[in-house]
Amino acid sequence: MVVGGGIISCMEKWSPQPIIKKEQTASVETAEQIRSRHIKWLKGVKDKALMYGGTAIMKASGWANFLLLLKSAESAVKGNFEQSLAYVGAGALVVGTNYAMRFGIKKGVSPEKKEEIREEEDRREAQKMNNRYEKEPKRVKGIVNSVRWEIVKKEGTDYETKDARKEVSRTRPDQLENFDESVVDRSVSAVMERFDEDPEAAREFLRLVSLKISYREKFEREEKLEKVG
Amino acid sequence: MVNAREGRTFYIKRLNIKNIMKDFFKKIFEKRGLSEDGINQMYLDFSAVVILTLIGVSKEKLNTTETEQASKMMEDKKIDDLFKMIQSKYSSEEWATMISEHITPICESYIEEVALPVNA
Repeated sequence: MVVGGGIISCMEKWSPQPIIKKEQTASVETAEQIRSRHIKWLKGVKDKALMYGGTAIMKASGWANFLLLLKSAESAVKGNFEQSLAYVGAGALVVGTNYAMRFGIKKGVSPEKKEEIREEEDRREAQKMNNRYEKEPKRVKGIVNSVRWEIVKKEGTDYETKDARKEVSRTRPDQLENFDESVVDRSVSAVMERFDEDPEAAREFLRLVSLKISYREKFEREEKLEKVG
Repeated sequence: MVNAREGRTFYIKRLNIKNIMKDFFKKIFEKRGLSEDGINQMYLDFSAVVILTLIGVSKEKLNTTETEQASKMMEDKKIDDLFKMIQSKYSSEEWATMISEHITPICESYIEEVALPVNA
């Protein structure tokens, strides 16, 4: 394999047209416009990196530490320019090889076909996740109920009577008045203590809660399971 | 332990990769009015995102001690050690999948959103 050819051809595959050809049409674009796009991209990607990168790190050390880590990453990259280049290059090499393998892309494949292959890949991934939840509904339900209980309890709801407890079990935390997401974080610690014997379940739960976006979906899913069950 | 020949090969590969990536960034941006420093800065930013992503998505594979080690490595700028530690947590297949899922989209979006001229 020609090392350089791999990267360049890989990058060219990502672009609808050969990069060189496109460059030649770009003479009117200013450096400032390019830099502005770069900064915009950087901000967007960093936000995403904060979302999923931070999810994992938050479990161990909290968001504040992750932000520190982000700063360290930038600083470390700048301090190790040579290594950084090698890493990015190594990543791109793997990407180059893997991209073609994953999507079965060969020269001459149309953009429509490429998109179709990708969609199929995404669908399979989503199905895989669904299967995972279906296999362990009890555990998921147990975890969700526990955290719901913790959250509602901390909201000051009267949970002493049977009816109140029933009501609590039907309440979605994000529907509570004055719902404060930080309550989730505090509740997580409480739930973690209970789930010490099942760290994997706790990890899974933390992942979902910290992603936030999965929150509503998770409860809706759990409600469906209740109906089915 | 690698022998001298393997060591040389690795070194040459790293050099090639570095030069190729550098050339690649130059190739995209040099005739578009950006200074060399500007291109380097963009490259560094891009590298930071890639490395940060690698760390973030791999964090779950690290135990508490390794997590602490990782943070320390970041502080000490021992990116090389950190990279090796992360990679050692993956099988070849897992590594390829992880790169495909998390690094490929970064490269793709950079090409589409930054590298390609909007008026082309």
